[in-house]
Amino acid sequence: MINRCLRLGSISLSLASLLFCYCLTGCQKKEAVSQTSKEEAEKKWDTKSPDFEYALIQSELKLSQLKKPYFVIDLEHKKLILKLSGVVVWDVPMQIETENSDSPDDFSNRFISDNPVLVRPLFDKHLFAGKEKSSDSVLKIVSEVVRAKVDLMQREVPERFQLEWENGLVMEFRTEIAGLPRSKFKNTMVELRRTLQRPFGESYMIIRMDSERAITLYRVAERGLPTIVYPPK
Amino acid sequence: MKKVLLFVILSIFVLAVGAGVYILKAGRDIPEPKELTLPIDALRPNLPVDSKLAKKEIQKAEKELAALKPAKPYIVIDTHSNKVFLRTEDSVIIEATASTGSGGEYVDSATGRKWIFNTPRGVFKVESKIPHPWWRKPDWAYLEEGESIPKDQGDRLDPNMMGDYALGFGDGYFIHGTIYERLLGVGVTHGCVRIGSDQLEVLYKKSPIGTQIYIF
Repeated sequence: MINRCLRLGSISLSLASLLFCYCLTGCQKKEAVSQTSKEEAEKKWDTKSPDFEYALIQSELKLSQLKKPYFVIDLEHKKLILKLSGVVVWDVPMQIETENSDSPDDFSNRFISDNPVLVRPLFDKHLFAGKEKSSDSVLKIVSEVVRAKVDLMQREVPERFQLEWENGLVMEFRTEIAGLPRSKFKNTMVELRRTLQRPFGESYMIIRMDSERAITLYRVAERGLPTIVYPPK
Repeated sequence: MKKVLLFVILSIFVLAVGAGVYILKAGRDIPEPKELTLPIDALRPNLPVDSKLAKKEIQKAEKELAALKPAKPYIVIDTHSNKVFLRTEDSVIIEATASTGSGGEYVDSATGRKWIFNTPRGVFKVESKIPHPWWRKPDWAYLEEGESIPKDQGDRLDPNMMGDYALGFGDGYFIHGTIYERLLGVGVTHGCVRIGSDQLEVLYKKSPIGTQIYIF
């Protein structure tokens, strides 16, 4: 009887997995289906064409009119840049962990070619591990003097965090510091989600970065942060 | 018996699907925004078909983009990491640890006046340069200490708080020195930007009036 139950349980689990996979595929394809007519009209962009170059410049001009910073992934010069009003306010060289990363070409193609899309808003960020920059006890004393909340003054120094854009674009950043996991459960969930999504298409890059620079990127990278990619040449 | 089995199977099925959906949704730090997309189409204007016109258009757009970049070194204030930079597009000339606005607020219970102590964000210019600046204490400085506001403006002046130099960028905000150098790196100010005396001197000397300031 127990064996039968177990067997039926495992069959239903398999069925559930299949249905789940089917749903996932459906979700992934949703965007593509809605864009079919557009894709037919506009063929895949040649990133070396004058049209593309022009569109890229126009996109940056539009972004420069925003009052907030925007993120530039310059795969041509291997640089990550934050710009405000079209001017560089933060930049770091892109140190890609090539062994565990997909190629910059793959990232760029996935970012641009599907719709085509030149600017994608940041979809999600997740801090795997980090540590607080100043000790809470010191900040507590200071906060009483300056009448500000400790968490407003505190800065999270990330050890490892990831940024995610739609269409399976993930960039993970790792620094030299040793921090503590923020939530082991959430970390497991994020890892599991990636594992589930990977068969349906993803571009994943690991970037090494100095922790001081990472503080800024981690804090600026709020959901919706406009991001533009300059493809590698 | 069959009903029990069917119930067990259905329960497992529902649980497995639920777990899958949860995994896909869980672990996202940021709540769903109402509007996630940018007007992408607006960002892709068409290039004229004629190649000469197209070339001209590209050159015009390139010039427009290049014009955004300051011709001279500019100041960047990074309120996230509490840093001040004097830099060009390609290189950093000065990097200084700073203190920017704490984000705290003060409400005067007697009058209801409210102050929020943030460093303003955006694009500014160096509007004034003052050697040996004196601090003209604002109302909140007295109210915070529980002191009465002096009637004589001269009583508000404090010659020791702002260090050796101050660079004003409008609305009473300054980049200046501090007697609390141990607090540099933490956002503790009322909105001004404090840096250490050595770097302040270099920044002051290298930043003429009109130098662009980018604060984010």
